[in-house]
Amino acid sequence: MKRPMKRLLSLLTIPLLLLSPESHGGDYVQFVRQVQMPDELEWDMSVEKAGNALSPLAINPNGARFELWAVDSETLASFLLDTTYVNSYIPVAEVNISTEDPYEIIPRTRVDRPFTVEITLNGLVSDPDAPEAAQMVKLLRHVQAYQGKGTGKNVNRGNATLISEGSLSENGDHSLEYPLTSIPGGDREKVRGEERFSVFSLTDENAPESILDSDTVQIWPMAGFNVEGISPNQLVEGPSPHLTVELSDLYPDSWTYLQVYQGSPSLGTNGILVPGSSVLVDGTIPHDERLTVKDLDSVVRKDGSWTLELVTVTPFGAERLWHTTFQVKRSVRVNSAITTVQ
Amino acid sequence: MVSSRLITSLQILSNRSFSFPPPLFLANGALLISLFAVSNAAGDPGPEGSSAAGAARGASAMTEPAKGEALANRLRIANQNDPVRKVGPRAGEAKDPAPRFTGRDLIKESAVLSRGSLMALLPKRALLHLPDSLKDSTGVKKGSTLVSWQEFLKSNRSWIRTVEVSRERATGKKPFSVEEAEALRSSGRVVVATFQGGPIAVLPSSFPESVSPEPGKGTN
Repeated sequence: MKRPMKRLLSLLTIPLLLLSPESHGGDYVQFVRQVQMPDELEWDMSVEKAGNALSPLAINPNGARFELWAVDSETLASFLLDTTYVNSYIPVAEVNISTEDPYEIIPRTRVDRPFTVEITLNGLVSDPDAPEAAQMVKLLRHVQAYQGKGTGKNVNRGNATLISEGSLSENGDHSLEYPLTSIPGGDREKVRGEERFSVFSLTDENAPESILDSDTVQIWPMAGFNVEGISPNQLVEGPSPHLTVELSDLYPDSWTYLQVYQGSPSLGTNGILVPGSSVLVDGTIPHDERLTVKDLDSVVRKDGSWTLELVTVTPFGAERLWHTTFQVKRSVRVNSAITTVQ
Repeated sequence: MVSSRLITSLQILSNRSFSFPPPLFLANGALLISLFAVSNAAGDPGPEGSSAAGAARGASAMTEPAKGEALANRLRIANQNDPVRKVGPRAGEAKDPAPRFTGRDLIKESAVLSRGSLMALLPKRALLHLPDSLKDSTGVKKGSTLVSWQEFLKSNRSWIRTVEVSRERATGKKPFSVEEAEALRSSGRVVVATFQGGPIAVLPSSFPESVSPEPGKGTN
């Protein structure tokens, strides 16, 4: 039975990280390049920054690939924002990755956090006489590590590693759950890079295996730290010591701070924020920061045992990165005897 | 805040039927292409404004982050249970098709026309004729700004001639005659094939080669 329908194909978002205002400041020229099969004849159609346009170039009978490009008008860096292959019997695929981070520009998460890949397929047929390309699609998983402090800019995505592949032959929704990333790297806390999930059509008589949709999740490392100026169980008898706090790879959406409270360490305690220790990050890439904290005295006023903690709050919750305990003894006790002489 | 500079996705709306045998597309085979801008999710800075800080300090359970060794163990288990391998067997060609679509450089895949401070891109095979006298008008020029084809053409009509072609002509089913091709070459201008105003590639078989050398060009 024929099932006429209007399909909305939602496509890849990989280059968004590259187009974020923080990483690029220029204007872009954008257009759709329609590639007609099987000769791969190209036609450029200028497009506005938002809106609709009717493609007047018929795609029948051999299908066409649509490529949405943006080119930086100054640097000429080009970004393939989106691409899809359309043909009469080629299925329609949509890939979406979701994480715990509500950031909207691109799916992103941290190296230790889970993510979900949702794939929706329509148009697959079960007729054994149909071309193989109409009966199933190919599912690919690529990973790519960013070197050093890389942010994804100027990464050659053609060098991504294919780590697993499979096929889908049923229409509907397919959900793949991942507990954490598989981007390679020895120090698992410091892995950074991206994972890409793609659905490809199989080769048909008009076109080679072509991308139907893909989505990419960006993976950032865990925060690092080094606190100097205080040692475990240090006795503070005068002014509190000045602290030097070095923070690295703070999550792009995070709030990191020092807090103190009286008593022994107790995870989950809501302490007093140490003035000058708060670092708020609201960006697209991890952030490094070096702080000098000189005002511990304003919040540590009583004698006794105190706990100092370094806390970071991210979309994944509040986490205690580090803690130590110190003793404060500032009261002056005068031992004396009073005598009178009569 | 909406950042209108960002296009985030290409959406294609088409009349399609997914039964087999394949149906036709719209009567004219057209597709509706929809472009969307998205909002910049960055909010105002400040603990109260960021979503992370929204998970209020001290609220809910505080934890301690996983360590490298624990992550390595979790990864080992995860790799053994990769869902991609479980959805269905490998299919199609053994060679990874992705590199054909990633890491591409549009500039290298295109012809560049330039004049003054402006440049424009077009499919290489849309450039039907480039007179020797105008060869300096191609290629990337340092300091020039890329603009859309339409904007570039507006300022450079004096040395660019566009010729509208049909799909049949572009694909070689109704090629240019030798006379038509010669007439275009004799214009002394750069000749660009267009379809509804946009530059379109034309198969070489559709545009006969010159039968006579350009003035000043020898045949030896």
